[in-house]
Amino acid sequence: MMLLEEVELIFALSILLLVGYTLGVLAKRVHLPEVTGYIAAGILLKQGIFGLGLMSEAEFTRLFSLDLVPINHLALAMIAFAICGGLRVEQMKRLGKGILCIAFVQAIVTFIAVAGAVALVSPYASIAGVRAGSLLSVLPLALVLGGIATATAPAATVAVIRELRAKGPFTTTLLATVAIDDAIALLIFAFGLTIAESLLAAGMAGAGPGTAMIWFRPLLEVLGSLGIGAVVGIVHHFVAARVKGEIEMMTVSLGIITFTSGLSMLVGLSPLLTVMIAGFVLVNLSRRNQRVFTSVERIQGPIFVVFFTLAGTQLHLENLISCGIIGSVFLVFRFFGKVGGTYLGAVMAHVKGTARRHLGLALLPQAGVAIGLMLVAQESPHFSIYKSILVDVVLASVALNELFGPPLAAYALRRSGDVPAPKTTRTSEIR
Amino acid sequence: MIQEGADLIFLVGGILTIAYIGGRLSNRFRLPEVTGYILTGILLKLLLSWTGVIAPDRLDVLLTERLGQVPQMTLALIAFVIGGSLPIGQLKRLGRGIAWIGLMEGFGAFICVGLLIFLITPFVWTMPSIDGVSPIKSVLAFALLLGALSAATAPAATVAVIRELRARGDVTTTLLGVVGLDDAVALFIFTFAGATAASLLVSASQAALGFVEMVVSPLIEIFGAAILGIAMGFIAHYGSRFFRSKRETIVGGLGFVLLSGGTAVALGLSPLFTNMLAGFTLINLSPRNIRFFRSLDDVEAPIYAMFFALAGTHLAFENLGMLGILGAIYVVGRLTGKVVGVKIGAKFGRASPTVGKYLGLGLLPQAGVAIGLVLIAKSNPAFASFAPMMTNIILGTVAVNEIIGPPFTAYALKKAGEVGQTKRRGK
Repeated sequence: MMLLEEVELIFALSILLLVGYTLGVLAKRVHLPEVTGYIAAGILLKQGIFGLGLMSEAEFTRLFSLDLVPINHLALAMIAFAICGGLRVEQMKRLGKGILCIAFVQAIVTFIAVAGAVALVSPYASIAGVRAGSLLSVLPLALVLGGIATATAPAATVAVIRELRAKGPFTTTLLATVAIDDAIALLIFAFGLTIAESLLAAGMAGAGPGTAMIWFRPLLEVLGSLGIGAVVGIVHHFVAARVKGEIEMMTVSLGIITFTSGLSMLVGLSPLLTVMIAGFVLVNLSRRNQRVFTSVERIQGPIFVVFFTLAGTQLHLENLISCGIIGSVFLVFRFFGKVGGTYLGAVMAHVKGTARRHLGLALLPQAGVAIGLMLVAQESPHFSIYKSILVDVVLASVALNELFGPPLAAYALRRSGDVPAPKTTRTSEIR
Repeated sequence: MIQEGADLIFLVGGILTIAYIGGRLSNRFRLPEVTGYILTGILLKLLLSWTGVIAPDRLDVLLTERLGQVPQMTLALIAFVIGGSLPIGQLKRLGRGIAWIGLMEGFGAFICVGLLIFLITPFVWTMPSIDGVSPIKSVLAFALLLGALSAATAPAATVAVIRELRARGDVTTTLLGVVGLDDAVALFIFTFAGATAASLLVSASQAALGFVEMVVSPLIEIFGAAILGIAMGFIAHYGSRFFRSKRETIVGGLGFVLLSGGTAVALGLSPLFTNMLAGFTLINLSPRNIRFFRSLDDVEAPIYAMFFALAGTHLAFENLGMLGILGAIYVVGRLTGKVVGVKIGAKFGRASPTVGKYLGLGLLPQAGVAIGLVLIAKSNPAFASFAPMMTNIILGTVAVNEIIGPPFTAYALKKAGEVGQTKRRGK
């Protein structure tokens, strides 16, 4: 009994690795990012398994959603950590206020664009729970969806950058924007959800007692993550100074990253934010700490392949159809919000060059954070009426943006001139 | 709301970090890292159950169920690495020695432990009697089983020590070969001894039925594993022509290792033997395939740390107290049997005297295979009268052997002069 379960997991892992790898290679052949290949592999895998009737739905869920959860957490933590490996303050200083300005403006513009559009359109979309002509029943959904729209997925972006070996001012700006975006998205979402909550509570005649809490919680979460992350970063710095070999560095760093992520989850903080802060503190304490990031990179390959292929198996393509009008509005306005917002931010910050036109294109991928925010919104008791539309829209957006986001990011990076060689496939890479 | 799996991630991170510290500390005391990892696991378990950071029931679930796949995967990887360290050129020179030593160390331990247990048990332990079976028969069955179990060796610790010390030479290669072969040898001995022991305790007709089953199925298991392993080696070889970079080699290589191990277990074959042959086939198809093993080298360190620390959390010390004389006999008899067996095997196999002298000391670690076999034996109702005692002896001595084994292996390799000057690794 036990044995059989173990086998299945080994199998599942090997299949995820091999199928993901194969489609990753194929994607590269047609000049798409590997990540797109991995995700497509996950989608195909799921269709294949159900198509051939190899596994029952419950079995599939147990194997791919429950048993492999640790790998998801691990990959997300490593991604968060990797984001900050590229965030050195001195580099940021050169880019200066531009980054902050761009990051905030694009997030706010996206929020306003999506929230506004959803609010205008949803009365006509005949959604359960939304009464035509009643702003009170439309606004909450709009605010929450707007908040979720701001979230971007660092994972795909980082993977594309790594694959293209992009390096330069555009890449730094992109990494910085993606890194800050998580925090900003969290803030805006909290803002949106709070108002939505209080609106719904008011609509149900009776002020919600949780209103103050919902403002307080995100603040506490951000501050707590900052504190723990900073402490871990400093500890990691001192540990790293004592470790000599690169392989040893990998083991201990992996341990610290995972531990931090687990710890912050246990105490109810954002693991992503905590690990990012830890990485940020670490990379800025000493130039030598770059070693930590290189050492961890060694093991990233297989973990990323499993993570993205797994993400592919979790996508619900069927939601694309059912979410209809709200979904398309969400997608289109998020796209223009990101692209336009970036442009606006760049103009305001007097950032010239490619960042203005192309940065927004690299900010489209959306995955874990968005789904996480959606789950948080679902937790809210007042939101049960919007449950199905919320899930459908977010999952559809994740599916499409994960699929088409990476190629667009790759395109943006190439146009920026940060990609060294004109071709992506390089045969001379071995050793 | 706490996210699903948060405590698991917390535990994994904690284990890795503390295992690293344990490894470093044990280096400072001139012990192999493996010993440090194992001790870490023991301490961590004590610490966690003492402080109650994670509830005891939950801790059990996490360690045995959620992380239950880690050992299986690590063993698949280790077996693959063993196979890959046996290129045919060296096998031609050392193969005869490996075969003889592999046989002799297995039978040496079997005979030595079996004999000692058989002679001494009546004086130290009154076995619960079985109706209609003479006491001498049940003692003999008990001795046969324990002897057979003592033949098993754990490859993981050996491979990890060799890796840490960057040992290289005839003793190292022969040791790897023997450890790889041991899985098959131990299985064979256990099969025949188990069948014989069962026939001593139950009626002849029942035993005959069991005998055929117990002899045929391991044959299938071993030959099936051989065929599957070779096939997997070929698949990996042809698949690897698509690998463009080192990163891809890691992904593809890991995928193949897990696929091969997973297929073996699914078919009821020995995953260790399968993967060993897969690695062996792969390295002998083209020297270029060494890149498989080099790239896996990059990801092995954290996996090993995790594996051994986990092994440490599973060691059963509550059994140590009641081990007493029988446990001590088992440990001493096993060591003697292995050392003497290796000497004899080295003579028959015309291996160098150094090999004969030191290799036996490298064969002490015992873990998963022995535990797996004792669980199989335990499930046979014929052995019910002494099953608890047998299980306790194995679980307790596994703890002892896992801890003292790696330092012995390191000592043997150093004495044999196969450890380079530079101890610290890294690039």
